[in-house]
Amino acid sequence: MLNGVRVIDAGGWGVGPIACCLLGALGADVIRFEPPKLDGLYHAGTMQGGAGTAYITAHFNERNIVLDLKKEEDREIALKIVATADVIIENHPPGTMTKLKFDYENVSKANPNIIYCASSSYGATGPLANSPSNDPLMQLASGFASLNGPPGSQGEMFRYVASVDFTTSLNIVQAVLLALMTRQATGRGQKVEMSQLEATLALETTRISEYFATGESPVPMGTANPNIVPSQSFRTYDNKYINVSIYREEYWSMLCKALALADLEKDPRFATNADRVKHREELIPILEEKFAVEPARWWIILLRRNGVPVGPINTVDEIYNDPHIRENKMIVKCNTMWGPALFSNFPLKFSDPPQPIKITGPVKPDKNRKEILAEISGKAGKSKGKR
Amino acid sequence: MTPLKGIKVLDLSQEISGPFCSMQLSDSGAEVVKVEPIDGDWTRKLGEKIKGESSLFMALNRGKKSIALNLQEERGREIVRKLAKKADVLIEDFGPNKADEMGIGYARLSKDNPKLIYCAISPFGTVGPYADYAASELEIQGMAGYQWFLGETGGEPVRLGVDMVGTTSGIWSFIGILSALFNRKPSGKGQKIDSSQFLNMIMMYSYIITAHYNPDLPGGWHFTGPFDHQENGYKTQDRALMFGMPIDAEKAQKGWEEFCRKVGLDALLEDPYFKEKGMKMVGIGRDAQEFKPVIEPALESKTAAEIKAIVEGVGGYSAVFKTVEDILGEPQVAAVNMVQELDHPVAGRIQTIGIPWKLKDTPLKMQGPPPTLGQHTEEILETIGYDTKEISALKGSKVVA
Repeated sequence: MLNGVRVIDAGGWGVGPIACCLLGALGADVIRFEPPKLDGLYHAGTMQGGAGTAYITAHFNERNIVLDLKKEEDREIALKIVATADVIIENHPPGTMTKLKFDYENVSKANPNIIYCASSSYGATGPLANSPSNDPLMQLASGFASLNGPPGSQGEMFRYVASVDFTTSLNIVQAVLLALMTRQATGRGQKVEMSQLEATLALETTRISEYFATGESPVPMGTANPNIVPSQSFRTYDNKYINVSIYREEYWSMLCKALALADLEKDPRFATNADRVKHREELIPILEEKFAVEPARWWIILLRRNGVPVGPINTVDEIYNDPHIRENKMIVKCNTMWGPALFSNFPLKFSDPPQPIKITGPVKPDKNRKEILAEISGKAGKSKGKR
Repeated sequence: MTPLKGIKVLDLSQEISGPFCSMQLSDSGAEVVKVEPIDGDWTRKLGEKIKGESSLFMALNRGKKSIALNLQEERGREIVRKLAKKADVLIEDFGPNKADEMGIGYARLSKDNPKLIYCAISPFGTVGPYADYAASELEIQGMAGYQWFLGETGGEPVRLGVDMVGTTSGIWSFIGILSALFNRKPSGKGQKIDSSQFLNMIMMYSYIITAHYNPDLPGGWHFTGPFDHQENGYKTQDRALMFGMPIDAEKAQKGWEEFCRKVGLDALLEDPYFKEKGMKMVGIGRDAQEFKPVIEPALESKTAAEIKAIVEGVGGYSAVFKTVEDILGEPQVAAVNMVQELDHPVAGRIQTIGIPWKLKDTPLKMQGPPPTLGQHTEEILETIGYDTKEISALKGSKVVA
């Protein structure tokens, strides 16, 4: 899709790099500028072969060159590489790139049509523009965490999957694609700004709509749904839980039939979703009692055969062994310098080209120095870029 | 110049993923026609209402035109085929093979319009043993491992309160569509994109998949996370908050002692163990959870803002569990334009969440309020050559509304 587009990963930790890797999965040529002490994520969290596993995850599909942007000599090399690029992405604390003389003003002198994407915590303007943050703190500060947790609680932080970070990465990809589309028409690059706060608020839009209607903040509901009943987890005979959601009207009669609860189907209190929302407190205990008499596997097989939306609550082992994930080759193994590692594959399937988009594992820091330097000095030909 | 000026989108989807995607395409300048069943997108019936209009629907459908069509009728499908001839992008979420059965699948539509980019959103995609299973937000959160990181280990499950699957699958679909549009300029060819909600969420789980496969030791954030306790912060007089001491060892020692004195935990410092280790026993994780009953009583007489000020005064970090009302009231949200207003024909002036991406030279702008059901039916039918007589005949036989 993005063949011929060159992207520079000048970011740190997860947000910027993941966006670059995804652009790489779409066919872009991604060059990572690695700081001499290596990125913070290299030294943090769960480790494998001496490197942070999060660093390994966040740098697939990239070539790597170590550059110290504080040194004039390296800065010049970096600018020469940027001159051959289409996009540069950074997500450092506000002011970092200006101090390094590597902000849009400086970089656009070397490449006037560059798309320069700067991602921050709170946005480029406003009283908090210069405040740093990270995934767990932004979950709290954005209201995201206030929507998780048991009923009556003040919220709960989502542990370590970095959903705020990942959502921000996806928003960077969106913004870069929009700027590329604009450039395809006008020939001009530009600066693009975004932030964790803005990305997370957009993610919350369905729950925030409750506030816009009622003036009251939405609250955590355990596993239940404010708009759809039933849609929640139910405990089963074997002390596991299954998720069941009647998210379209036709599923209600299918559920009642599968559970052999004919009376329930006829009960006017539960006739439509609106009725069931109104009579939530009466309906849920009836279903809880029913689901408690057979094991989770029983219900999953039975409800699936009857076309009712149902699913288990999986752990990472169950995901790894999941037949659907296997058949879709959604988890791929790559050999890296830190040993074999598993990566999630790119999820979208394009018909043209039809082959699955491949993830290639990250490379050793500075591995591609020679070839990149040769490319910018013209020995290996110029970037095919500038689409 | 908006990025998608002149791009025509035909959106046949309902609920969250497809509509969120086409709303973002509209915000990017595309012209979006929303095809709804005769009784409307299902979300029109859901959630809180503003003067009878669903706030949930309005949050997902601004800047689109609405045509109500009965797709059970061949004449309704014929209208879709005519609209698809002129479209650049089509979005649907009927489920695998359903659109083909209705005669409005990619194979059929691309014959008349080879430049069409056709995005099919479904719970599990078209390949694999689950392809025909039904699932919604909650089932996919559970199957993709998201509930494993919430609640107490062994306790009652919890879900992510946001509709993460719905919105991010909208974002993934947007990424697929824009990539295909970008690629269409040189290639001249359209294509089909399969966007599976389940697979989209597995990609976003990648940190965990790597961390759990081959770690040096069973430790670190991404490994221990699933087995930790519920992280619900420290209770205060008002909002709960999370906080921690500075990372630098020397600053942490000084900060910890100062913090203890300021919140009235001086007694802790008399115990050499807590004096030396206490700073590592606050914040996130198992140690902090176990130490919480010792710290929490000292915080309950103060507000979250007071404790935040103390923590930041000693060089630590903190964040308050903000509600939606708290955050939307912040001047920062206004500064980045993330709450905007639109005038809806029925609901009046409504609020909506803004556009997250700021393109400096070519800023994006919302195209208008969400439509009422079938608001643009006639106008849209006229663009594909139906006259007034034909339109009233179609209305009479309930093919359109």
